[in-house]
Formats: sequence, structure tokens, C-alpha cells
Amino acid sequence: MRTQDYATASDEELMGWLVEGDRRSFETLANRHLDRALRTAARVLGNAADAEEIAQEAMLKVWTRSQSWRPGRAKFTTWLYQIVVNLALDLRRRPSTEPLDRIEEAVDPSASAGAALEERQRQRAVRKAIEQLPVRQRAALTLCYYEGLSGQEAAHVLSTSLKGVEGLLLRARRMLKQRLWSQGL
Amino acid sequence: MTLSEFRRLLEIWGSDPQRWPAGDRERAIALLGDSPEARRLKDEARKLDRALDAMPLPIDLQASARRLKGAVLARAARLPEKPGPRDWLRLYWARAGAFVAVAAVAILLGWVISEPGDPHSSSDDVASLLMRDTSGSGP
Repeated sequence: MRTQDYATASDEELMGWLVEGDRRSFETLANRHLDRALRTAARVLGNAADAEEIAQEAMLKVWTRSQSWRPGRAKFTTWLYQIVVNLALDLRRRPSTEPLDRIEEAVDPSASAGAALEERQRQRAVRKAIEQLPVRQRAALTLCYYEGLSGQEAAHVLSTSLKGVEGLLLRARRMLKQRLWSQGL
Repeated sequence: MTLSEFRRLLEIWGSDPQRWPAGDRERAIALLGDSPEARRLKDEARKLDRALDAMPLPIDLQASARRLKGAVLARAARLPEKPGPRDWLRLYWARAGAFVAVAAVAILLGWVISEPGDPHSSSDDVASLLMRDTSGSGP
């Protein structure tokens, strides 16, 4: 009886059922991984409106492209990251829909007014430095630093080699360091 | 591991040993135990990590996820019952059809403009038409 299995089934098992057209498997995967898609898109794109658009498209592609899923080739999450990142890279060729300045920084509510202002300025500087990175460097940083993927997994997502990923990370971190240090942060 | 290799490791993966490639982790940790310079480099790399860690997500994740879940499931419900090879085949045929249509229009246009057998080039014809229009539109 499959009805009892959805909650405990692995992503890969759910994908196997989804390929047969099982909508409930899709719903389970969407419930499990929509957050991941949103988080990744938001980090790569830097704004909420674009992230929502990409996360939604990515989840629908899980359904429409389920036939291209190859069990054993990569984890479901790696495949999903690949869909999200490719959509985000495509979107970045178009202008952003939401100015970055409208994004609110999160500040510790217990901080004093002066400390809160300082923290906001610091976060704004870091955000701008990240925003100025080329989008593939931002994607590599998102995958490896924030999402905890290994170099090999990130290489698969970005369709490059391990050396390629390391090069993207090296350049990203060097550029961030240079920009932030030059502003005294 | 040499100090130079360790510096590069930090520049790529940051200061947290959990992020270091498994193949390098043990040697890097051994170097940290032996070298004050390695520890200094790690502390320096930690500064950038702290700045990255302090960056909030530019999205209210829970609110967005709540809003999107319904939309995703509703859109998926309108998609074909079983996405299969036939859908891909249909897409390829549609693309091939569009390509043939565009190619046919281009060939037809080329034939109409160039008037086969006429030694004059099509660009001359267009230029003379433009000249006639311009001369007739003055005050």
C-alpha cells in the first residue's frame, strides 16, 4: 500500500513514482523542497520576487521533466539545485524586477539603535559586494557555502569540473574580501 | 600540507573544517596543530565567514513558501496527467514546425523581393521605392 509510504519514502523513491504520473509524489516533493528552491534562488538572485518566480518554475519542471530524471546518476536534491540554478542564470540575463534597496536587512531586535544602524550598514555593504559578483560565482558560493554542497556536487549542478567550482569560489571570496576590507569592514 | 596549500584551501572553502574537502581535512587540521601561522590565517578567513553568516536571506522564507505551495500545486494540477515521452515528442514537433514555417516565409520573401531572372538586385528595387516615396512626401 503506497498511501502509507509517502512520508517516509526517499526523494528518489518519490521520483520513481512521479515518473509513473503519481501526483501525490509530486505534492510530497514540493512540500519537502520548495523551501530549498526558494532559499537557493533568493541567494543567487538577491530578491524575493525573482526567487519566488524561479522556485515555482523549478518545482513545475520537476513534474514536466520527470522523464529526464535518471535514478542513480545524482541525488534528487542535486537535480533540483541544477534546475533552480539554470533558471536563475537564465533570468539574470533579464533585468531584475525588484530593486535591491527595497530588501530589508534583519537586525537583532535587542541591539541598541547605534548598533542596529551599524549592523544594517554592514549587511548592506556585504549584500552589495555579493550582488556585484558575477552570477556564476554567486551560484557557487550559494551552493557550497550556504547550502553545504561538496565541490563535486556543485560541479555537477553548474556543469563544470571540480577545478572550475574551486576557481569560482576562489575568485568570489577574493573579490568579497577585497571590497569589504577596502570599506573597513 | 604546506602553508601555501592551506592558504588556498581557506580562500576557496573558508575557515570551517566541515566545509573542507574530506581528502584535505585531516592534513589541514594537523597543520593547524603545528603552525601558529596557519592558525592566524584561519582566524583571518573567519572574518569573511562571519560577514557571510550575518547576511540574512533576502526573502521571508516561510511566508513565501506558504504562498507558493498552493500556486505550485494548482498549476501542476492543470498539467498533463502523466508527463511522458509523448509530451517531449510533441514539443519537438512543435519546434520543428515553427522552424519550417519561418524558413518557408523567409524563402518566399526572398523570392518575391528578388524577382528571379531580373539582373537588378533586390536592394536596388527597395532603394528606388524608398526614393519614390521620399520624393512624393515633401512639402
